[in-house]
Amino acid sequence: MTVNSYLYKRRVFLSIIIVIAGAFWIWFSRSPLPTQKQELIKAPQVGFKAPDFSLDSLSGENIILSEITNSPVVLNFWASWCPPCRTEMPDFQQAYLEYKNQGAIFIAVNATNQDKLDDVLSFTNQHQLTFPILLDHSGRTSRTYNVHSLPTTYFIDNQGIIRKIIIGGPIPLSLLRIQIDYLIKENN
Amino acid sequence: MFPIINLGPLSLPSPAIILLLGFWLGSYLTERFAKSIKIDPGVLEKVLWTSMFAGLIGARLSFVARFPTAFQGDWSSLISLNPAFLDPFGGLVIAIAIAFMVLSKQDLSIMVYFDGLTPFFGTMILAFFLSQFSSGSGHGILAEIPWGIYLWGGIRHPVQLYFAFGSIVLLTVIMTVQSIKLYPPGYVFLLFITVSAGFGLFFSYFQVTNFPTFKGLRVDQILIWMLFIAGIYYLNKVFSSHIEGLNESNK
Repeated sequence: MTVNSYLYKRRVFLSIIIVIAGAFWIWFSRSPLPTQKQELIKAPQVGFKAPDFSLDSLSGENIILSEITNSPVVLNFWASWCPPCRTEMPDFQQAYLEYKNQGAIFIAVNATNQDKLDDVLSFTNQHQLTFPILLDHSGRTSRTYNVHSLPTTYFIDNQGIIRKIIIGGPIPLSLLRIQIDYLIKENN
Repeated sequence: MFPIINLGPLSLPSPAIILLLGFWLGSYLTERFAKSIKIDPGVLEKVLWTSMFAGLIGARLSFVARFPTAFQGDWSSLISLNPAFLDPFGGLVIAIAIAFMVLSKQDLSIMVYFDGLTPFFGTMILAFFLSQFSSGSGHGILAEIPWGIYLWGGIRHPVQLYFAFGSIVLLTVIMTVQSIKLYPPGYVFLLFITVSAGFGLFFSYFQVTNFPTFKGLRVDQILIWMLFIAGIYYLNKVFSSHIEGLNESNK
């Protein structure tokens, strides 16, 4: 046997061993891991259950996220001084009108701890926003949702699982339609 | 986790910044590497920039093609800077197609250029996993381990860092290969693909996956394993034919 032939056979043998080891690793990985059902954990991340909150709206109504069931939710964090938030709000209103009969819920959480209530009222009146505007006076809900930048929008399915997060804006109407259509399609 | 870097009134998305830095570092390493293996760095630079722009345009067009009705009455959003309007897969396919087109017009074998681009691929993989670490996506499974990180409601494997570490090791090996001219064209690239697939197969166990399963087996792992097998096969093939060639020339 020549040296080259010996080296070739050794290489082929090693390759086969490595491939079999890979197959074994796939088989080993198949065993279900305990407590890995991330849908059961509440966290502000795609694939996890949306953290719950209870906030009062501008009209005085108390809204609890976990009480909204079997409906996709568009959850937007905003402030009246934030230019992209101001730009995207009319599109949110338009999308709300287009989708409210299909069961989609729109919630805009105002970062009231860093905003002025008069400005919020003036802005919502000016743009005739008719979906619930919740007031986060303490900033606790924004912190729970790890909101580092305004606006931030969460798209939550009818099971309460976060499906998409868009940090920044403005979000155009077309993108809102795409995300809501996806949630509604999944719902059906 | 640091998804946003706040600089005064500016909020910069750290994953995007990391990917941009990765592109810059990858281009720089590719230029150095190209010189060491006697390839014209200008060609590789042209490929990278052309593919990047084609990929960005392709990602936007691909997104529009997938959801044309959503743009009715809102055509101005076609030129929106919002990255959520990009289809990464479509963009990647178009970028690769453009890279092939540009490289096929060059004098040398396409595999030689792929060898030259390997440091770029390695750096972008590193940047990708670091960007995932910064945003908290691609997170690991829950585990009670001393080096675990608290993320999304529990202590988890810092799997993005495992992948990043693997990329650094591989990148270091590639950049320090001194005797590159002993190897046949395509060998460095194939080695990179094979070892990356090996790392991917191993570390993916520690990552939460949304991929479906087939009879309990993870489909993502099966796909990586198939890439791994293909890599090993072609590595052996290229190396064997190179040895034969050397033997013939020695006779």
